[in-house]
Amino acid sequence: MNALLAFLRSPSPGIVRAGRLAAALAVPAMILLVVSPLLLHPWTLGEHNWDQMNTQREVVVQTLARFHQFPFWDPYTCGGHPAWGSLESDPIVVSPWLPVYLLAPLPIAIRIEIIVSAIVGALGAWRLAARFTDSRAIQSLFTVVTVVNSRWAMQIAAGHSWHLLYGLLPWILYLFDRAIDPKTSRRDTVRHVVVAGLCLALMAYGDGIYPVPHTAFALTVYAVFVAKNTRRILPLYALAGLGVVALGLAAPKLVPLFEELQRFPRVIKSDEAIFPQYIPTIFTWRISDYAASADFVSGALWHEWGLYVGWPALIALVAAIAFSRGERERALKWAGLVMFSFVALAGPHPITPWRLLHLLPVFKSQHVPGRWLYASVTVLACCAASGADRWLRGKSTLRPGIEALLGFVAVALALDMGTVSRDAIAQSFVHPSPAVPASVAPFHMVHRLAPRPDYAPGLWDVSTLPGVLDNVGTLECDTDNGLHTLHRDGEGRMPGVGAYGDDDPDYQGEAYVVEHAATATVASFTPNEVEVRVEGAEPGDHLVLNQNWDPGWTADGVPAIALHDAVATPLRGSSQRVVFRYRPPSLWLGLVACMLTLGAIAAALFWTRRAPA
Amino acid sequence: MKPARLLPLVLGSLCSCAVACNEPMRHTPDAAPVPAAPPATVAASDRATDHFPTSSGDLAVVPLEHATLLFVWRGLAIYVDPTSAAVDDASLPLADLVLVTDAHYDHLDPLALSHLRKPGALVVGSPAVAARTAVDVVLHEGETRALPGGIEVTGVPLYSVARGPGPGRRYHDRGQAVGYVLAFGGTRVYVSGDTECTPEVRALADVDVAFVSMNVPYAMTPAEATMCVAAFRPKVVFPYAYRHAEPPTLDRAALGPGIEVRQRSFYPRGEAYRARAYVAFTRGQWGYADDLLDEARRLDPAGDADWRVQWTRQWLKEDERPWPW
Repeated sequence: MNALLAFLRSPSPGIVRAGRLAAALAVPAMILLVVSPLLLHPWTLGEHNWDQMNTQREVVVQTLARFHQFPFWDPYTCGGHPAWGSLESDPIVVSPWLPVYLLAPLPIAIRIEIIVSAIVGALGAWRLAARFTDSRAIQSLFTVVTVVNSRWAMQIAAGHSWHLLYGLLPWILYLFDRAIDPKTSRRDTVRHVVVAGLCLALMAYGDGIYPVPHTAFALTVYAVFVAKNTRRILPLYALAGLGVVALGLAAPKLVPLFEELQRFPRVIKSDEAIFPQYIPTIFTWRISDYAASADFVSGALWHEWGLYVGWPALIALVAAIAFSRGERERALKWAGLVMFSFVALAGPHPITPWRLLHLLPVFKSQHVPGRWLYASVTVLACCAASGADRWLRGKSTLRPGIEALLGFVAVALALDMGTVSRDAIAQSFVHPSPAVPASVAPFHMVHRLAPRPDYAPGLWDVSTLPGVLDNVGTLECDTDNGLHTLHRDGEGRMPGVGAYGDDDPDYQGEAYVVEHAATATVASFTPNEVEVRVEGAEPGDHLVLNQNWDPGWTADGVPAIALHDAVATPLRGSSQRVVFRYRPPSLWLGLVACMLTLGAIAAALFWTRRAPA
Repeated sequence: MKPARLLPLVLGSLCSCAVACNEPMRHTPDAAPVPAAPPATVAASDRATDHFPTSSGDLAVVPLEHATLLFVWRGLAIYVDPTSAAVDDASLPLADLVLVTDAHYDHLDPLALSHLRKPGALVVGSPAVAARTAVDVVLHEGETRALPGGIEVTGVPLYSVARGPGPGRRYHDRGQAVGYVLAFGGTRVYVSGDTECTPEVRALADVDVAFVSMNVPYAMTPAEATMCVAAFRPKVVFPYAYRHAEPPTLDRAALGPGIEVRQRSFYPRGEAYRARAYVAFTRGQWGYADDLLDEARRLDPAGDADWRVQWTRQWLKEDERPWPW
């Protein structure tokens, strides 16, 4: 014991340096370990939901590269649906990843997105931890626990690529915390608010269906409690400013999205639960199998619940959270605990925190309360970093030794947690990527794609990626792109789907005339614009395009009508050329809001430049 | 903080661990289950609803789902129109022979074919099927082939006479799809596929067992099927693919004596989904239970008449009221 105390009091300079080095290397080592299966097998694709995620990205690439159009409409999945005005489409259009996907093959681009997102998240976590501690070892521990943990890895393994957007969460918390710091100048406050709002807008453009509301919720609770505890109004102003910036910058995406949601409200039941006595298992079961399940968790697989840190780290985390003090820490504790209560007290009973939150509009569209886990742990870990820092300050004489020791602990924890995370990634990314054809046939719709020898992953979803590559649309899809995918009629068709596959008895071609046996030929096909030539029809007959109807479709500039949920228009003559065109109806409104926001940001920055600090 | 304050936390955690460590974790495969049972096991199980004696042993009939049928004869598993929804089941056997009537998606499912085929299995299909997927034998209407295992198969014309998706169009053009007459050691079994009542069907002779599709509007209505069956007079007839048929059976009185109508459940998964819904409901997973009941309704709309479904639906409706009430 005395020897240990002696070591902690006066560690050799070499040990101190090694401890610092270990603290610095723990995070990159962990990231490298976790993503190593992606680097060792660079041409594979993941399973479970990855077909859907790959399809969303490939629709953007093909629409831009093959048709030189903006991806407003996705003709390839579910019989056609708005891509821009969808919760789960076009995730890489307004994103730094777009050039990567345009230039690199799909498997490589996915790897770059995953790995760089992890690095961005780690850098953000490091900076965020620095707001609560000046100990490099604690920063390292914070980053190890919160970034590429098994929760992150199992979500990525399962193909929930929106989870990558949580990499911006620590940056937003960091920027907001700096913005509301009394020591920050007004100009810097505005700058931090703008950048945090930009990050939140990027989350929205990236289809961050869970990261956006989770981040907004955390910020709101944090701001409200800091304002209450410190009796300052600034946190609320900063919150409002951040919200306006984020909403304004993301308006070109959000306005069409909300318009589409009005047509197809996304309301998902959510009574998934974990029995409360098993909550410690979330953090202590060393299970990386993303497809594992157990009776004590209902309604979702293990990748929606698990976040392995191990018993020692869990106890240390809880102790550090309990040890933290301060106004900000108290606010973060509230935010984190409320968010964690959605995970821990979810489930079957209608009066649980999650089920009550689930009654509210935005959260009504979400399910799986376990998805609050990642954000809540990040928020609570801030308190833990603060608590650990406070404890460390109390050990002034032992601090150099403890810091060195904690550096080695960070490495050990990184290797332990990283091994679990790595296995999840290795489990999923095992399937070959489908070959990209040199040329493609004219577009046609099928009910379901036939299996291909070069693309047979064990997918949760029906296969849609090869269809995008081959210029073939599919009716069968598992995307929640605004259509009621959970609601099907007796034929398995979704309400709102008016297109037919060519293996469907009701199929009459990619364009057809309803009333008479006239000829309708697709002269040219692009996702947003289809030209059809009609012969032998009678005036007043209806020409139908074999795509699902949406208010954005026009025919020769006139709004198209919905005929049994398909795009249609009345004909004027027997021989005619009709151009169907799609544009999101409310896009202009979003663009105007975005321009106004940019103007307001410029004005605010200009005004604070001249104003005294 | 004093270390003693952490004691309840540590003790509580250890107690939880003691409980939790006994819980098994199981892997849920991402891939669909693959048929793996021996044919004889399925033939001897309750799933084989009917048995017909033939000159070469028992012919077992296993109604699966919608248009999918399984025959087990002389240890061979013979599927007709297998789809993934019906055959992704480990308790079913791999196929020795597959017959596909039609290229429409509720009859031809290339994914199901890839799951079902064992080495040496033979796939027989109509010209329309051959145009969409690889088949071993392309059978045209009126053509007869002897298949391995002693089965003889004849293509029966399958086409639409009156109905179609639009003017000048038919759901099934002649020459594309075929029904099948299968001879199992002298016992002749007719599987109609989605045909209307054509002269060729009316002219069938010596049919012992017939499976007549009532997949309206693409095949015969119950009234048309009754009229058609009365014309070719099989000894036993099974209505199938009757999802939207009202009533989902034949008019026994109009058929007259000598034709036995056997009504079998071709939408059994509806019942399975309802059973899972009750379990989910009792565990408090009310949303999940509601989804399962929706799926059960899709597979078997008639099942909604079950009092348990109505009672559960009523309860779920109560739960969906805005809170507070």
